[in-house]
Amino acid sequence: MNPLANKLSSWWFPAFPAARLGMLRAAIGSYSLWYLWTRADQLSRVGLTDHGLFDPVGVIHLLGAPLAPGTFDFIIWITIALNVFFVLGVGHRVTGPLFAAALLVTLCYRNSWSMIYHMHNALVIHVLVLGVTRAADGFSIDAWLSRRKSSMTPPPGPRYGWPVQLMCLLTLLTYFVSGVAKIASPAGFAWAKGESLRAQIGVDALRKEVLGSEPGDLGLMLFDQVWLFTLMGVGTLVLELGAPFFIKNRRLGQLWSLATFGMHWGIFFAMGIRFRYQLSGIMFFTFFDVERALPALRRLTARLQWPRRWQQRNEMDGTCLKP
Amino acid sequence: MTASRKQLAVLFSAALAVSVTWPVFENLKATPEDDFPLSYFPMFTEVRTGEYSVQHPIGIDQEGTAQLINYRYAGAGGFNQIRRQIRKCVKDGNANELCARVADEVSRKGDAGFLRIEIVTSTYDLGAYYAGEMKLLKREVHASIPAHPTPP
Repeated sequence: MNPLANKLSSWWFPAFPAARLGMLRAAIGSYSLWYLWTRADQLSRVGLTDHGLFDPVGVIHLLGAPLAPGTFDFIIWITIALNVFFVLGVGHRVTGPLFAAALLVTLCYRNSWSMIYHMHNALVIHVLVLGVTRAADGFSIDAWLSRRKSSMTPPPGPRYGWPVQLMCLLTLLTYFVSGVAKIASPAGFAWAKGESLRAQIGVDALRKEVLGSEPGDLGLMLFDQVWLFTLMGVGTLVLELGAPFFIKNRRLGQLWSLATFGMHWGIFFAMGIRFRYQLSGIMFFTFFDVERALPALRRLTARLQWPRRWQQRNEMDGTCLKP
Repeated sequence: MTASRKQLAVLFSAALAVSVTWPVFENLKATPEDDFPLSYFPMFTEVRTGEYSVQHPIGIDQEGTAQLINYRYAGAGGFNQIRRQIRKCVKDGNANELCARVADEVSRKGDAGFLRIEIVTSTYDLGAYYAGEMKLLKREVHASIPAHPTPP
């Protein structure tokens, strides 16, 4: 292998611990479970919307007409059940891909009624990657059962590294695409001046007022501070158009994550728009060594004084037991 | 990890990366179409100047004054979804059906006091709004029906 290919290979296939991918699966799965569980009723009502408003997106293009409400309810509850298996890491080789497909169908159908919500594009893509990779070799029921048989935990390896790299890259690419749309708009690079963003905040507040929702207070409060919107416009374009460059190394990726996380909270305070997956911070976990939180989690469970046997088993996690 | 598995991983990664990036080409089309989960993320790209029109339901009270009606009376889903659904109903000529649905909901939830329910397009002066004033420039009525009596 030539040096460049070697370098690329070691960058794309870093040796990460199984626990990192496992914790990402549990965290991202927990977010989707929270979302689906708390919105099951709302999702169900979406299925009752006037059929004239049906405007299929994604895989729902394959359907000629809307589903019967009962069928969609069934899909929602199957998705929630599979989501529980996904979080726990039970039968992941089967339940992982099934959950990825079920979530794709559910969220595509939810977005097939004249409005596409952009907060869950990355969630669907992350779950797809986690669903088809070895994301339950660590921090899962599957891993726990496997350790009972062989008393071995898998060593860190590239098979746990590339899915994390891929999720980071895909996250960055979605922001890049978003940045391109801004400079391809009639405003062009002048979008950075912040006028478009400022006008958008004004329009958003106006229509929320007219339709009875809550406009973001901060945006209107700061409305006359044009310089601030210019700063936000430039910052947004740097984070979005520059996003692919932040894949270069983990530190840059972490820096980008923190800045983008802040940007989403800024959007929330200024416009009241909740990009929930982004605001939760979970979307950015892929950029961090999340398995480092495991010792703290263990200390917490120990403090809770859970059954001793469960504790002992947990303390063995991540180590190779000697016969 | 074997070489063949690495090749498979690279192919899978490349396929997903290309799929996620592909929607940028929508920007080159005269009428770009958004999709999910592969989007070209058109939010915050519209240029807004001068006036802004919004379609919404209103209730006309005993004094003949127009009162705003919350978007939740007009459909199921989130704020932006219902806003777009109202717009689509008006555009597709289905404002009467929407108006009847809103009137049903208003009656069912016991919000009495309206003589009529209407679906309208209101046009506001954006400059005035930025300055803190809701200045209505014009209002076009798409559907207007008598409000249902509130059930006892």
